[in-house]
Amino acid sequence: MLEKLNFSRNLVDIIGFTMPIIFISLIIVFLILAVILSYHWRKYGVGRLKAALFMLIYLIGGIVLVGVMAIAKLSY
Amino acid sequence: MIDLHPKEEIILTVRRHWLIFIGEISALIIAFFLPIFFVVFSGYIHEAGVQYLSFSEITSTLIFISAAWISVLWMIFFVIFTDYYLDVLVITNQRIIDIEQAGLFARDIATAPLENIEDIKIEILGVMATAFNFGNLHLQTAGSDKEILIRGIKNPEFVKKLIMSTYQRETALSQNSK
Repeated sequence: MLEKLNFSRNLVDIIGFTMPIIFISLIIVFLILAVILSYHWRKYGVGRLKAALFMLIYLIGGIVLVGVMAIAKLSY
Repeated sequence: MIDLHPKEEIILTVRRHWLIFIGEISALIIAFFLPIFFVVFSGYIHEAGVQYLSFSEITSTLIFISAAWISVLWMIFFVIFTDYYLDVLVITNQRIIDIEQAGLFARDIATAPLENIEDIKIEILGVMATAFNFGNLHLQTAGSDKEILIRGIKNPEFVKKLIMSTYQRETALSQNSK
């Protein structure tokens, strides 16, 4: 019983510790990729309007997903 | 951006067929639906995990994992899309430019003047390629052993005809001007 309780506490701690690391890592990778993609779209002639549209779609999708992750983390 | 020569005009810009793109992201599409297993088996997962974590903790963890998973797929999708979108064949009135984007940090640009093109071969292989009219375009150029190969191009027959007609028109124009 006590072992199970310890394991349970450890599991809660591990998940609680891992979540922010994954969250922050994903945001960093997401932002770095945004810069790289934006550079490619602008430099290689996608066109300003299209490049802006692609970036908007990328950011909206990313922000929604990051938002869902943040809510999940906060409600954990 | 492509640096064009003086009096050079872009006649056609063509990409690979969208079905090729769908094929490239098919693994992502399958992977996208994996979190649905969490929903389908949520009863079992909660049952198994409830002795260690509370109901809300399990739910939050599953939602977090799903969102993180889809975020990664979202980023991979844009890398593949960029690769697809920047792979382009440009036909101008002077030459053919084949731009091949390999991932985010490699880019191969092959150029062949129209007068150097000796042979154009198209390949339409398979049911899907026939039904959706896409295929490979082989350009054999003079003075080079290496042919230019453009895979999965939209409407290859039209592209072949366009290259040939452009070459004929430009040759006639240059002869008239002499």
